[in-house]
Amino acid sequence: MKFKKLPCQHLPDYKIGILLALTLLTLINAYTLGSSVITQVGIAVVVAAIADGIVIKLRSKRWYAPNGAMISAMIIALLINPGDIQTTAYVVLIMVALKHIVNIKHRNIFNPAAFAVVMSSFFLPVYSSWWGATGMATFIIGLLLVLAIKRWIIALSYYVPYLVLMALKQGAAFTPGFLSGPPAFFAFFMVIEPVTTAKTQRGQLWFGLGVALLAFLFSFSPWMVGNSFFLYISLMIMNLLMRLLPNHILE
Amino acid sequence: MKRLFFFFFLLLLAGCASETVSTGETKEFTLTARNWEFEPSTITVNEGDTVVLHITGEDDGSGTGHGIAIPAFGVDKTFRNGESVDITFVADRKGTFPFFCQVYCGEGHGDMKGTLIVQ
Repeated sequence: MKFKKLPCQHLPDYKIGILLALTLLTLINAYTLGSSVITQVGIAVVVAAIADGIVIKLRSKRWYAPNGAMISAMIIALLINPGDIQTTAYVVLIMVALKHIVNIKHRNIFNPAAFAVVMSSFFLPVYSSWWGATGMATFIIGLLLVLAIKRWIIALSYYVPYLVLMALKQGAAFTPGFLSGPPAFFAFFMVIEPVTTAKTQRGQLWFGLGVALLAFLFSFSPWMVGNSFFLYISLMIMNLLMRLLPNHILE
Repeated sequence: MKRLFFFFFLLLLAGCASETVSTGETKEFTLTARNWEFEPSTITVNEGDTVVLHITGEDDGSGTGHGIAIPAFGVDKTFRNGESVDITFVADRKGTFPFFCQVYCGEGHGDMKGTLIVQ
């Protein structure tokens, strides 16, 4: 099977698509959880923009919009304690700090949102509530997003095997409820992150499959499941492999 | 400088000594936590009320149990299938505060949430 190199994605359009999808999820959830979650997401974005903007300005002469940090901030806000503005702001600041400290040649090693949530969980009351990952809205909006921005290979190569393996493990039938929720949010908004994942179709296929298999294996550890680490750590391991393995294996 | 330190020390002491005092009635609620919902998912109280939640876990999620967290009021409890926990706190400020399951309890975990309305 011959795989082709994907066309270069126009980053502003790509990021605007993700920002719009995440905004839509925020508004849908605000209907049930109250307006405090809109404030939480808004403050997360502002904190990320200011903190990352300052660091960008200090580190390089050329300034560019901190839209990557803003997307990660929205993801963090939709993942952790709903309505908890203070903790969200701290985790966003940790995300910005880690982004600029843990990188190789200014390229992130780990998914910024997953890395920040894992690291801050050790000293802050951070819980992965996945409040933004609710109902079929996550699945529909997420699927439309990955189709629009041409990241469906990496998303589905994680999502489909993961659901099949978990259904086999739990003996559960596929229901609409099984399709929605954290696995959909993780697949369509986190696994697709372009900087820390593969660029070619073949690489994306292996990457998604790797995350699914690791998440399935880690799901046998109650400690790793209870705090959602089984998902985050699986993604981070594949992020690391991407950087450590020779290009021809995952690219 | 010493005065400044003394001032902050007093502030710290005042902070430690302060205790939330109920000025309203005691309101009790019986909640059930199961895959993947809280029943009821909306709780309404008045500002100053002492809120008592009796929560029972009706299943074990995906083997991890369930939990409830209301960060605004320092609530953070986990429980297993058949286990009941009692939580008491004073709703000392108005607003709509989300509560949620803080334990990843399975694929529908994101739906396990509700709202506490303090009028």
